[in-house]
Amino acid sequence: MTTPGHWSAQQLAEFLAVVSSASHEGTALAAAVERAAEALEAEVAAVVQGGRVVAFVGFPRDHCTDALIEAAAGKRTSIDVPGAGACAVLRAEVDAETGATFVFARSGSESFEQQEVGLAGGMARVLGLTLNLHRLVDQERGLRTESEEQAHERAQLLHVLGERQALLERLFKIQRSISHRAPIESVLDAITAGAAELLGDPLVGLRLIDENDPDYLVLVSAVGIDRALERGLRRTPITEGVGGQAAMENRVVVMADYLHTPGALTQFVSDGLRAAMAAPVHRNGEVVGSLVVASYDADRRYSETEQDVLLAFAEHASLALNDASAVDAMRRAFGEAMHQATHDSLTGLPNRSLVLDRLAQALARAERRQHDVAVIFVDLDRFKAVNDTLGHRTGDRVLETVAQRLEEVVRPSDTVGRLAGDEFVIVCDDITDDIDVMHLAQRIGAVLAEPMDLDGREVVITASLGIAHAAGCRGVVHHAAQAGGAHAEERAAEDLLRDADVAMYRAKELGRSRLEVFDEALRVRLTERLDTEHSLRRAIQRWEFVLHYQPTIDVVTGRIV
Amino acid sequence: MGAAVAGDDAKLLLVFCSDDYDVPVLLDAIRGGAPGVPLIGCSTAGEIGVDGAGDQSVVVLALGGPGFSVATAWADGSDGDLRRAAEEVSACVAEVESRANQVLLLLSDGLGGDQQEIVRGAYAVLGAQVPLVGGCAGDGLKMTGTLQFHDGDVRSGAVVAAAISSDGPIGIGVRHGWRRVGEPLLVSESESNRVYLLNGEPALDVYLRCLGAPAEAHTDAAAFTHFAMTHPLGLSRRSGEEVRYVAEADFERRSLVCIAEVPKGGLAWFMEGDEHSVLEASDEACGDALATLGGAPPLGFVAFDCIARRGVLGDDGIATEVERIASHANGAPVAGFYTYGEIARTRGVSGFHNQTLVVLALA
Repeated sequence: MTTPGHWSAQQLAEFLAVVSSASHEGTALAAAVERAAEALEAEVAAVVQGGRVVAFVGFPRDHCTDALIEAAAGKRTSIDVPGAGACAVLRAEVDAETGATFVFARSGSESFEQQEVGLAGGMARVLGLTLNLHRLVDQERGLRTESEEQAHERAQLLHVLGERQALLERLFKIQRSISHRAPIESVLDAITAGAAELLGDPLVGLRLIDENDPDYLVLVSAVGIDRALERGLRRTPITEGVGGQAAMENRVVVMADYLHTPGALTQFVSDGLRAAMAAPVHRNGEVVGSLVVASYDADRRYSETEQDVLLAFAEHASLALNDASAVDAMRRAFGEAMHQATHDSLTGLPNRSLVLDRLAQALARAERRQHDVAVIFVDLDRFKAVNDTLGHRTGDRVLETVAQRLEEVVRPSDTVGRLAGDEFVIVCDDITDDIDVMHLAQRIGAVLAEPMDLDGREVVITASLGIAHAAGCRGVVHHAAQAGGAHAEERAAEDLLRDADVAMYRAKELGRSRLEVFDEALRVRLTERLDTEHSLRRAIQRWEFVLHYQPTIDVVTGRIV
Repeated sequence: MGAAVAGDDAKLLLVFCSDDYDVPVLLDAIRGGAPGVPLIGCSTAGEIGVDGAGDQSVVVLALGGPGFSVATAWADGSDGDLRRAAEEVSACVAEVESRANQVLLLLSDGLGGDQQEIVRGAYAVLGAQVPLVGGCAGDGLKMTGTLQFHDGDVRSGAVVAAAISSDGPIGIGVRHGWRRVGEPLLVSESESNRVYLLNGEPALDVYLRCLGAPAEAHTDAAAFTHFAMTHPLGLSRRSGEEVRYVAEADFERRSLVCIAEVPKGGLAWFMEGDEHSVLEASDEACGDALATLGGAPPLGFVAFDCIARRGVLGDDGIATEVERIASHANGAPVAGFYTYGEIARTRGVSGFHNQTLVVLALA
């Protein structure tokens, strides 16, 4: 009957509603410890700051214990609570700046679950923000009595109050959508929209680590990133960008001078981005991505409060992802759809569009790093005969086996894909030596030629391979880059794939079961072929074909009449 | 008058009676039989005694014997500050003799605001050290005013308490027996114990429609209260749902008035029960209370049973229920009343309940 993974969002919503309505710091703290203990069904909740317990419930009012201070410092995993016995301890950082820490203690044998750790973190963040905003308001109040510029400060005070209200309203909306089981995409969109609105930055992106390839982050929700830019940024290496750094280092990262920061994403640099900030997003305690805001304003500085605000939104993303049903929905709605759209259903390999995407990314990186990228085009010899004589099921088994063998033989950084039928392709990223690729292609030829045992029947199949190097056609890339702008890499990717295809056809012509490299001679032939194709197409358009002979056949006798 | 004052070692008198009595006169008579013994009690929505359940009756339970100490207190909460009142009465725990086991018994005015604040106030003072138990006084469903008794004084809007310490074990059992109906609803707008919007719609309209309430409940306050008694709200919690009694309808503002806070932004379910599920919960509550006694025979049971459960069971059903409770007590006296809200905190921090049965077993 209960819905695990679900009550925590509701509890956070209730906690926020109560704590945010507190009129000053003291009442906020008192309400926070009480409501947080209720949410976690814990006997004890306390806030420890500066080596002092500043608020607590669970101990008799006049008998608080120093064990809480030790627990807050991480020196204890269990404390004794009168009336409840030995209690497991959970802590969560309220405010890194002040060192305030939430400490919980609960009796019984069950330790705190991941979901509860997430909830505690969320409540700590909400409390931290509330306390910070109270402090700001207090400061403003203090200034107001001292300063002569009363009107100005009153305006500032109102601004701070307004911001606080807006933040809490926003977070509240997000929590409501989480607890109301809104689709995960819309929750994440609400988070990016909320961060954009409150921090006032034009660009916001939420990236999650690619489940199939943890070296990459995938953009799942964004504000202000235009289509063309988004295409190139949909999948970025975790080692790059402010978001990658936040995810790798599991902390808030601020890049005040984006243009001159190492690791900045080139697409953003060329887009004129000036400052960016990112906070890690977690699922079940593990970093799974990051939330990034960025600005084109060279004077943009991110204050500590703004860093807290970003963290609060990132925590909410974590909370949404923690929700078990949300994760399922995510996998269903986003992951599977993405996977289906980008992978071949028979072999599970990336399909043509994903291969092109990865190839385009590899080309973009190669361009920056002066590395080479190569494509190996693999076409099985006489596969149609296998299909026709042994049946489609056996044919499918052959394709699965080929996929498996290819994946085993390539380097981890290479991408194996299936383009269609019996056509496979290997994208070799980051090549420093031509010999590497030749060697890999030879091994592919060898492992594919090994006999396959299919239900007791031995099948031998060979392949024709074509290799094309990006370095061999750099000029083409440059040319396309000048002509095509944002789509340059995609066109270059298609060109490279075509070149490898042409080389493979040459291998077929020369007797199959061999390997050919796309070279100058082939380029000439390709150009001729393209010219012929072009001429033929133009000829059709211009009605230049003339009928010379047309026989008439009797359908009954089959004779020419 | 129910259970008599047995022996001369009484330490506490518990009195539960209908508010139709001339209570000051009644209390004088009871106290005359046990001079100097502290007394707490309240008016009810029905009484539970050794002879079964009844209306317009009086139940008196005397607790005492060696190895048993009591201190009592009362505080005014008629200004609505129930937390402060609870903090005040909780101070009596410091006055009771220290023994192995203790409990604070609280009786309050069920019509006096957010009763959860009573548990919060007591917990703030006592922490996890002292279990809390008790109930909210009733007025036979007239919903006009309830009474709390402390020694010879009769008040309204008060919190009365007895701190009990005992060498023997003290057991507390809490169960409800309601189940969810339909889909979860979002509490889109609420304030304290008033629910204005559910799923963005006026709460009263959603409630009446989703539960298929009878026509008269749409317009008549009494008919609504009668229907609502067996159709509480359940709030989503870590260990299941927390039940909220819907006390009345605000036909003007199309809102629901509950007995305790229903936080905005939370999820809620409508709930219902039947005789079987409610009686099963009675057995389980008694079983839980006895389990804490660790095999020691109970010397007495005090039952705080929600009026709404009575609504489901009917007159025959409550007779069965009290019989069952008595059979668990195994000959020990049983006293209690039908309440407007129940208190039981043994683990964690929360302890205000609705639509439940709370059983206190002393050994």
